Amino acid sequence: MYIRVTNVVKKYAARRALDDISFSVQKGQFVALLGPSGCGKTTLLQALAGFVDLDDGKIERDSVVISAKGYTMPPEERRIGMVFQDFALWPHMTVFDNVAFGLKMQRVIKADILRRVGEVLETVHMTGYERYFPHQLSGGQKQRIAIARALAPSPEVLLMDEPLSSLDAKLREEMRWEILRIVHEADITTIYVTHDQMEALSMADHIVVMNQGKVEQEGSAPQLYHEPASVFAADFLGASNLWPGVVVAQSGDVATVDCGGVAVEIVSHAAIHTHVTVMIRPTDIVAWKCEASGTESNHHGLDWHGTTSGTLRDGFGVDAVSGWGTSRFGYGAGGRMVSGLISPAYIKRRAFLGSVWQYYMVMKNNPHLTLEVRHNEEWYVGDSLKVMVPRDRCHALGAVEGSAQCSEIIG
Amino acid sequence: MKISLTKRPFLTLTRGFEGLVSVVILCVLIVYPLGTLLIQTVFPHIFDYHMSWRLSFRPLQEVFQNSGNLAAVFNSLWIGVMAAIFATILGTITAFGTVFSPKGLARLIHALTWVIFFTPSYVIAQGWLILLQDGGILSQLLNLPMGWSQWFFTPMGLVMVMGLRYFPFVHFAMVQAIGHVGPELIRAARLAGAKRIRRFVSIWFPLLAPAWMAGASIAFAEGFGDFGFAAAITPQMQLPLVSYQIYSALNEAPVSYATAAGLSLLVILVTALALWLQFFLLSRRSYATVSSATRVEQESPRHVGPSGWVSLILAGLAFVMPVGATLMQSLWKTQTGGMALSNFSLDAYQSILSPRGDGLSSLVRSFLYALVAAVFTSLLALFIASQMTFNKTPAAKFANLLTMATIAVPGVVLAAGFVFAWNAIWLIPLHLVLYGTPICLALAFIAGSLPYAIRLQLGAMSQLSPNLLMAARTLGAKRLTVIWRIVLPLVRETAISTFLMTFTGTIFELPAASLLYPAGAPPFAVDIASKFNAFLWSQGAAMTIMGLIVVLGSYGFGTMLLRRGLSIHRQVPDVGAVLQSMEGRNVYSCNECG
Amino acid sequence: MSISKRMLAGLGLAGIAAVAVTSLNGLPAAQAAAKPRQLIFYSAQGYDQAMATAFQKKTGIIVKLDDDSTGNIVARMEAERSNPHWDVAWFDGDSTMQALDNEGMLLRGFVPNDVSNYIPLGRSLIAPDRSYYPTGVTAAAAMAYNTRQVPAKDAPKTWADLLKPEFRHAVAMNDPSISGPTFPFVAGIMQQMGRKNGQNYFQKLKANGLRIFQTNDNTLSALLAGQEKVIMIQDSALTNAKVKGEPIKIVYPKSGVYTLPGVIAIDKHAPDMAAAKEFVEFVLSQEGQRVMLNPANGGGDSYFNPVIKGMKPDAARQQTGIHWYRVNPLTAAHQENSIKQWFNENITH
Repeated sequence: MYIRVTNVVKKYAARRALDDISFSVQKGQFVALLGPSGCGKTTLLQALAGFVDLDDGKIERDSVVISAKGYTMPPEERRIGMVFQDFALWPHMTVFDNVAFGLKMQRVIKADILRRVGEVLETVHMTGYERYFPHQLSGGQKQRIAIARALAPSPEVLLMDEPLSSLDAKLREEMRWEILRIVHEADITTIYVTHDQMEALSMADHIVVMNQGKVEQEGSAPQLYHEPASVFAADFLGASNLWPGVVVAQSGDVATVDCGGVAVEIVSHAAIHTHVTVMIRPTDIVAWKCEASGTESNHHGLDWHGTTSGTLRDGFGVDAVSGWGTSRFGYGAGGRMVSGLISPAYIKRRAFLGSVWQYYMVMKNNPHLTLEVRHNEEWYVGDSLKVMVPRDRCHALGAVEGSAQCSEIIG
Repeated sequence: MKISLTKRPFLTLTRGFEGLVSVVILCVLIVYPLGTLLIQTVFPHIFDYHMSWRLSFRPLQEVFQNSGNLAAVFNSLWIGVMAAIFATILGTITAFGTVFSPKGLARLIHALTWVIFFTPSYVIAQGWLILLQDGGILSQLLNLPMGWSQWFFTPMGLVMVMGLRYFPFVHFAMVQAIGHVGPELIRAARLAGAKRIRRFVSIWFPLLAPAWMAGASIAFAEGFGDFGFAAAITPQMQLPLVSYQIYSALNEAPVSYATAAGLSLLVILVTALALWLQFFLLSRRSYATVSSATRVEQESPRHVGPSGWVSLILAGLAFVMPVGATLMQSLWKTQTGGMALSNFSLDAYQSILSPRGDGLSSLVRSFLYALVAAVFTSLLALFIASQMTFNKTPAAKFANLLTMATIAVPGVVLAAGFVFAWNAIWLIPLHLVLYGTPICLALAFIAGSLPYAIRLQLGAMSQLSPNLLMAARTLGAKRLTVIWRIVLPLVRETAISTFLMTFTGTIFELPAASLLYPAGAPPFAVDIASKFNAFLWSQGAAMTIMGLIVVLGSYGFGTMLLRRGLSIHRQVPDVGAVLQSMEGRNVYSCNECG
Repeated sequence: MSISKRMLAGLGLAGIAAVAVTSLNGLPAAQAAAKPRQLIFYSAQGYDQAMATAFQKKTGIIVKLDDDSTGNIVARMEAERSNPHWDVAWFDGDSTMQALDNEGMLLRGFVPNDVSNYIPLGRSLIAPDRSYYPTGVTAAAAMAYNTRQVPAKDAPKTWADLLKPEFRHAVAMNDPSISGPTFPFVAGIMQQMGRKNGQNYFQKLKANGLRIFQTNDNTLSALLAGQEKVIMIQDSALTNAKVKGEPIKIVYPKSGVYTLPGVIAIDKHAPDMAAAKEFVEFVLSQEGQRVMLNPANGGGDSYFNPVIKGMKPDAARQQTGIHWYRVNPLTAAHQENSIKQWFNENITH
């Protein structure tokens, strides 16, 4: 373990900004601290940098305590590089002076400063800008200089505080790749604070999701995406369909959940009467149009029963969904895809996202239940459809804490 | 299209008209009086009883040939520079001491600085004199020998008290600027390994250059042309200063207004040069330190650091020493009686407040003058500054130049100008000889505070987004309505500050009061000065204390109203704002004004 | 349109305040109609308020007093010279008044009713062109010694005594550039001894350790504190200190002391010439003189020597044996700048 954060607590008046935080970072890892604003991620970063004193717990680097209750190693002794949200380039210094500052502090001899500044400017592709002042640079260029300044003294850890949030959308994409390239080239342990799950998922080796001063969940990007441990984690990582419900039936490892009149089967051992939240990702849904209203349809040759009865028991065999479907879904035993949800619905709103259509569908049985669906076929508002979700894509998240996270989209 | 074609000329006309109104007001109040004085440098006889337009360069020659005058300019220059440097050091210390101290101490330092800022120069100068002169308070308290305070009556002593007088200019500019420096700029330096002193030298100080330069240049301008110190302390030093040269040109026979005008011209030029130099230095770089990043929670410091204590001592010294000395003097029966208990009495207060004494009536009189001056100054400043900020007409630009140029005009120069301007014979047929009436004095009070008030409002208004006004205009509001309903509420703190500043300044204003008051109705400051002139130290001191109580009471009352009626979110927007406008940067953001 | 109403209200308020100031300053609108006679009176004398009150009581003419230092009074008179507002001006120092007369600002040739009441000293101090009249006289400087430090037998008797070694580093006076009464003293020495010998005298004094303070007050403090043995300042200030019980004794040198008259003058273009003349005559009357001589009215300024027949100075003042040397105001006014500059460069520094 390179950096170990153990039971860290930081209080502001009565509020616990950091509430018993523990996690660790391996040498060379790229770790993202992800969470909404006010979750404590920036405070944690400040604590790592030494700007915030701890009220409890400790932070170690290489088994050396750098912060503990009553002790904070001064930031200037930590050999940590930091890239700030709005770059924090000193406006009265040139690019060269900004980048060379840390080296001067270490009393590096002049020739070496020149060499090293040239080196890092080359790394960030900013050679030739030495004599510029910050206000003469564009946002992306400032970003590169900010990174160069942090890297110049060859720190052991690089902290980045929402470094992309000051850039516009297109530049943000470009700089995301650049930061990854630079960090990998420098081979430096990086802790990266962001509230953007896309940044975290696409860049980090390891993600620490934070909420209200606590670690909500940590793990690799795919792990977090596919197996969120809580409604919060799921919501924050982009899941939009979260249906609260109650387990009404239980057989083997399949539980049937009643979500306001719509039955959903999930793979779970949850006992009857347990409150759970069912999570369905918009991209995991199969939908097709009904031929005529009120008529059952076997559009894709699929066996379909009404869901009003609430008598789903064994799931439904699906032989062949659409061509794209087969490539996206796993199949149950025996090559059959087992559905967890199948229901009639109609389209309430739609939006074209470029590569796919985004639909908000309302369940026929319960107009309060909406489902976000991503699909590449075009339908129209008011169209009646049927939606189906494979059972292994219906996730149950722990007991519901407040129904605010449920995805009742208000038309 | 048709409508806009017919309406546009009308619009530009009215806009030009309003800009013109601003210029006319400034001309009547400032340009015309100053002009009548300055013109005498080349036409020294136009205000003789038999007016003559005989051109003569003798006054100017006298000014520049007299080695005493040149020495005075040189002395004033270097003393002004030294005082500005000293004020910058002190102001920097107290500003950091305030920002990095626990709230209670910060408020105390701030309040003290504020009081010093408000207290008139000559009150402070007189206070130091009472304290330090031979036989003064300190020598009696500590039984010091005669001549112990010779060091005080040297240029260094003057620089010291001037620094202690002017540091609030730097303090206010710095406090606000420190608050605007994104903490990450400093954190970046810490992470790079920079220790406290290095951070100060390499980051804080250069970053804050606009603030301390603005503060220092005002401190210089004030020190260069200050009459309070000139009148009270410099006579004892036998070191001619330009302000004293002007003073003596007007106060020692033979009186020469032409010489005074020539010297004034010199003062105005030097000050303008200093301000221009500061603008020039600052315009070459960007010092935008206001960060857009989300603010990290900052803990208010729990412990008082050394800078906090030093700041408290400095601010305390700068206020308590002169004002405390004045207070003690006011309680002494006789100068030589010293610290004996029997020598303490309220006699001085009694004699002033008694029906026979004139102290009370002149205080009431000055109170009313102050009220009138404050109402008009704050309204005019609001109107003119709005014109200058939101209508960029040539007239507005001219007005801008005017206020910049006249902010440093010494009060006595403007006052002398008022005598000539409003007593001129060409006004007789118009029945406009205002000199000798209260209106003339009130106008002079307004003229004296208007440039400062306008600069203050400009600073505040530069932070308003023009879109706020555009929105109101598109909804049909007329120009004056916009000023009244949109601009005023947004700059109300500054408006109230200009009001208070004019109010308090007017109560103690001396030069204009002494030259312009209607005979038989002396204002308060004239009464105080005459007590000191008659060596009635205790009575003069008692009146000063009474005036200070009124001023501070009004200020306290005003800020209380401000706090109650209007949610106040920053403690000192005003001076910071004027200094910011001196920094010449425009920050268009509306999050500052909500 | 509530806004314009409010603005009007605001302006109205200011207007009311303006009216308040106007009335407070004694210029109510009604006055313009009735127009009682009034006198604008610029003065730097301690007893001027009492004099104004007495005159107003006697004649019903309203006196508007502008009481200020001599410097400010003169500055104001100079500034209004094209359109003067004042009727009567009164301060110490005939050379200063002479300078104003030289500019043609004063009424010349006016002869008060009882001009014959002047004692010879008084008559000698009247302006040659009768543009100003003396109202009293003090010595621009007399010597005073601290009785606790100097026994009477060792007391100085002449100006030259101050050059003796026993007064080395023990004599002080004021700076003529700052202290109003000191210039006539220096000018008087120069006139009596001759410019060259006068300068010589002050240089010898300096060589003997003469100290220069700012004003009467500072110099007197130095004497009382025992820092100096002898000082040379205006005799009315010395008398005032003696009355207060300070341990000093005043010496009027036999060779003479220099006249510093209080002088009164009328504006050449006085708005109310008749009232102005009436006022001057009142000041020179015995009734007016009694007002001046009462220390309750004038403080230290009341310890002057009267120049009107039948008037006795305050009992505290030395009554006889003062030899007056009249300082020529024309010459003094002419030489003022050069003398002050010389003194500043050679003695003060």
